[in-house]
Amino acid sequence: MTANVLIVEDEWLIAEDHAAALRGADHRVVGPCSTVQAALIAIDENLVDMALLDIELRDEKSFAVAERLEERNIPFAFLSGHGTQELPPGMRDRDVLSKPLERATLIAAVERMSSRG
Amino acid sequence: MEAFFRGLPVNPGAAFVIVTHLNPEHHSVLHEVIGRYTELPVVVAEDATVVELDHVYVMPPNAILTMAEGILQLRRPNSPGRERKPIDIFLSSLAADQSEYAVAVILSGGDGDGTLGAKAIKERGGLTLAQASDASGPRNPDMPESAISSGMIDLAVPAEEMGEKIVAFVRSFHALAVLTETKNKSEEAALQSARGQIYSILNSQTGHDFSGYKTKTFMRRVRRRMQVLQLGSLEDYVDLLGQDASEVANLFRDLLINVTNFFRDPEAFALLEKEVVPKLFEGRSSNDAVRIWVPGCATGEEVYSLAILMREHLDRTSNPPRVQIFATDIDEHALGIARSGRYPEQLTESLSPERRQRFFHRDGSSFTVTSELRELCVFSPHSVIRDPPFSRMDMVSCRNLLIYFGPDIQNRVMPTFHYALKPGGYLFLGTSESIGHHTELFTTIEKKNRIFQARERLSSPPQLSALLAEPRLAAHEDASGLKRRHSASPLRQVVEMQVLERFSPAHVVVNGEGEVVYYSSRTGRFLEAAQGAPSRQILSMAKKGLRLDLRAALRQAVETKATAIRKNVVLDGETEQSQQIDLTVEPLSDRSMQEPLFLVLFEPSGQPVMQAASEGRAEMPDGSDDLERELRDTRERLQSTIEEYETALEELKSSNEELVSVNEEAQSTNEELEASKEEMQSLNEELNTINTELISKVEDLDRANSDLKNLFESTKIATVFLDRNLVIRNFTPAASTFFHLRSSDVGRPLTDLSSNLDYPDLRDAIETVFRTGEMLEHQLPRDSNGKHFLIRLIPYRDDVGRTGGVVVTLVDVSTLAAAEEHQQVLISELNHRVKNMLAVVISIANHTLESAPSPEEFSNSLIGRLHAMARAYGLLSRTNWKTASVKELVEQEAAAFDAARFQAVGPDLRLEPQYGLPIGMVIHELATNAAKYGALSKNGGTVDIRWELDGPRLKLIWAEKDGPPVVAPDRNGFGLSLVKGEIEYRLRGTVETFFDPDGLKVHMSFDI
Repeated sequence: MTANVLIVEDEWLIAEDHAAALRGADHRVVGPCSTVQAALIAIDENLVDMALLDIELRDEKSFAVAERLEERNIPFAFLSGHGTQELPPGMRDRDVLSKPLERATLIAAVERMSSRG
Repeated sequence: MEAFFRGLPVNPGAAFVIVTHLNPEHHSVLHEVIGRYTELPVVVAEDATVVELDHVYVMPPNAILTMAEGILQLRRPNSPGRERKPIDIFLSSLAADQSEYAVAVILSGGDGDGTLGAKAIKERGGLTLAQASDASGPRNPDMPESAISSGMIDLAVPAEEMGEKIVAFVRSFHALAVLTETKNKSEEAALQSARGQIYSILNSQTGHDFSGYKTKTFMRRVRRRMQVLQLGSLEDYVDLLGQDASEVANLFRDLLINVTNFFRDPEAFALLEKEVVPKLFEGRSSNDAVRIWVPGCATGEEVYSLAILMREHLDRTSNPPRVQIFATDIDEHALGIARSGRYPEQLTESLSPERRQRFFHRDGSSFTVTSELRELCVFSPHSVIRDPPFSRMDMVSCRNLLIYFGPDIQNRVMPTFHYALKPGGYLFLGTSESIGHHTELFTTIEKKNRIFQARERLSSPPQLSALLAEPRLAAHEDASGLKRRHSASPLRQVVEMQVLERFSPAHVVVNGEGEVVYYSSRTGRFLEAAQGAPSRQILSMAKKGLRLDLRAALRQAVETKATAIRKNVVLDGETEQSQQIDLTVEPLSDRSMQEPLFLVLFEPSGQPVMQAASEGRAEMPDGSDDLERELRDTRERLQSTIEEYETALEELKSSNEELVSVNEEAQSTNEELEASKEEMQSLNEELNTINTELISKVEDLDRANSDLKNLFESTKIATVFLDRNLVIRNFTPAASTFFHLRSSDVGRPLTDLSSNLDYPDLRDAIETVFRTGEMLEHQLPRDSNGKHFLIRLIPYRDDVGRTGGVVVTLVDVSTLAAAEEHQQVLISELNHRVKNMLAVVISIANHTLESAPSPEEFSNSLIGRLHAMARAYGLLSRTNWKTASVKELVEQEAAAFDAARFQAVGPDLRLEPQYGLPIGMVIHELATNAAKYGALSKNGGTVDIRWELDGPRLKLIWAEKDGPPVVAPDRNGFGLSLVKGEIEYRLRGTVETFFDPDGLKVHMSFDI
């Protein structure tokens, strides 16, 4: 099923990589956005089915985006290079995918999220 | 020893063991020295050496030597220093092992060692010799003298003569075997008759009957005397006995030696313990003293036996009185041994193990009396015969001393003992002794065990001087003297007796003190028994009128030793008659060597005159009547004055004697004190030394304490020392900040005090440390000052390793904690970066793959890009990931291609990693691009890079020149996409590309 996936990631190379992977799997990519602000605008202006959030953005963390997604009941997964990161309470049961992310893992996560609906 | 061995004949037939006082430190070559003096083989004694005849064995230094079953046994002494009486120890063991086949030879030496050993040898029937003084020695006469004066030495001869005597002794065993083993009837008969003779000689001289003695034992003793005297035949010996009284005395003494020493005659002592000792203590409280006198105490065994009984009874009594035992002897050497109270093991065998354990210290192979026993006894020199006796004694124990005296001395000594005792005091004699005919002085309590009790003093106390007449030890002289006088013929005796009887005046014989020793008949007119206890004092018995003159006459006779006469002494009769008497007092003849006696004769002179008649003379003129009366009154007054004076004199004399006696006591106490004083002095020396040592130890301790205090104060580590109960014992100044401690808090439990510690489990942790004995560490959470502390609980071990407390230490580990935190952060950062980088590399690989026409192209491109990353990272890591300079970034990339064709101009600007990295990548892409398609692909082409900072905005311009003609591509290659992506997407800047025909121009700008 084709999904509209929001990518929030501040490294261009990685963001493009994931975007290419998703397009290759017939999904559509929203963004990628490198800041929380851009992401929030993207959510408001686009149809977003699910999202992939890199936790550590350049100057900020992406938890504000997560909260907005939660409000809209949009499924999402965290991406992290840190391993076990301190997640805020309420976010603790979200999937955390660790970098570097294999394409297969990425696609599988998207499938999972779309089936949950 | 040289003299001894030189005087020894060859083939002596005996084995010789030499025991000396060798210094344990020195290596001794004594056996070599001795080897020079004799042909006999000389060896050093070793443990389990079998003793062989005609050999000499030398005891090595630092050893204790004994003998058992003919084998020498060597031990090392337990206590450091040498055994003090090795000779006594060896001799007593030799005596026990070899009995009569043992010989003791006491040569030169410095103390009394050997005396007790010689006693043991003699008791078992062996031979004892000691070195008498002569030209060759002994160099140090104390040892032989002590032995000789103890009476235990058979032969005191110079050293050279000893060898011969010993050999003769050895040989005599065979010759005299016949004395104890008879072969036939005739030998038996001869033996019996000789024995009988010996019994009678002994009996007549000593008064003791030995016919009931065990025959074998008796003959063994006889044989021994014969061996000592080197006589070969029994007849010769019997002859000698008949002539030589000193030999009789020697044989007598030998016969009476018993084997046991302490508690000799245990039955008698048992009786003493049960019956007498409790009575001594009856009615006595702690203010009183029980006093005992032991004359002839010799080496002290009897004294200590009594002391043991006393001490045992004292322990059973509450509020006990003091006990004093005065022990005397004339032999100074023996007293020395008694004072030291030290006996070799064998001689203590008659003690029960409990008593020995309780009252003696074991000291090597000897036993020494404990002080609780010793302090009861006072030893001093004293002669029973010559010196004034002690007085007010509760008991006198004199056993086996009197037998050595003749009956004459014994007689004289009994009253001395009676004087010494309080009325009811006890006398304890040896089993062969008796009170003689002094039954008026003592009652017999127990005849068999010789316990007597002093009767009340019936007459006035005997004058002491009478008791102290010149000593007469040879009793037999007396007997023979008396014998001589009765050699007159019988007829003459009868005649003289009759004449005396019928015609001589009444007379008595008195001694110098006026005591009557003989009455003639018909003295009743002149003497009358005085009122009160019976007395032999003539002056008390003389009838009135006689007394004055009698006294005067007696005194005169005593002083002048000539006849004194008083004529016409008026004797007042009970009837009306008064008689005049001539009183004669003259010394008794033929008494030059003995106590002087005096003959008192009462010769009536003139006619008895009627008293009335004598009074009738008063009818003369008045004047003379008055005079007569006056005279009579005066006489009577004089008489009573004299009587008073006599009484006073008696009392004074009595007091004087008591004083003299008390003086004796005081003197002997003084002797003892002197000896004690010396002991005290040496003890004092020891104490002084110990004290000095202690002082220096205390100084060390002070210094150590001071060091510790300084250590505590210098340390910045907070430490508290707690004992088992969490009570504070000590703390460093630094600790007081944590626990608010003051010096007065030492002694309070830690838990009483508040603390700044956030450690609720402190108490439990401390308990754990106590239990396990293992250290416990705990890191405290960050406190209010932002500091981290580590609390360490360490068990406090004492010197045997037991846990006696806990040491609580607090260490500031804030920097450590901070460093750890920082480290955590860094590690986390690192993780993140590495992961990120790997993700980037993967992305680059993926993108490169998409635009690479061939594998080589792919590889070159990828590796090129990776190197660019590496270079950029390299620059950053040089500054520990702080900054990298723009110029360096650019130049670095330029260098990878061809530095000469690049020009980089701009301010000295440093960028953080988040900008530096992308710039590095960007420059690389642009350069790669230029190399492939642009200015760098052709010779002569150059690149110009400029940058400037405008406020927060960095402007970077890339300009290519002289390259091949530029054509705008249809779409962006990956390289330019990357530039755009990094600058615009990542850095949120702007990128403008101008495809000038001259060369590509790229304008980049972003905020930093």
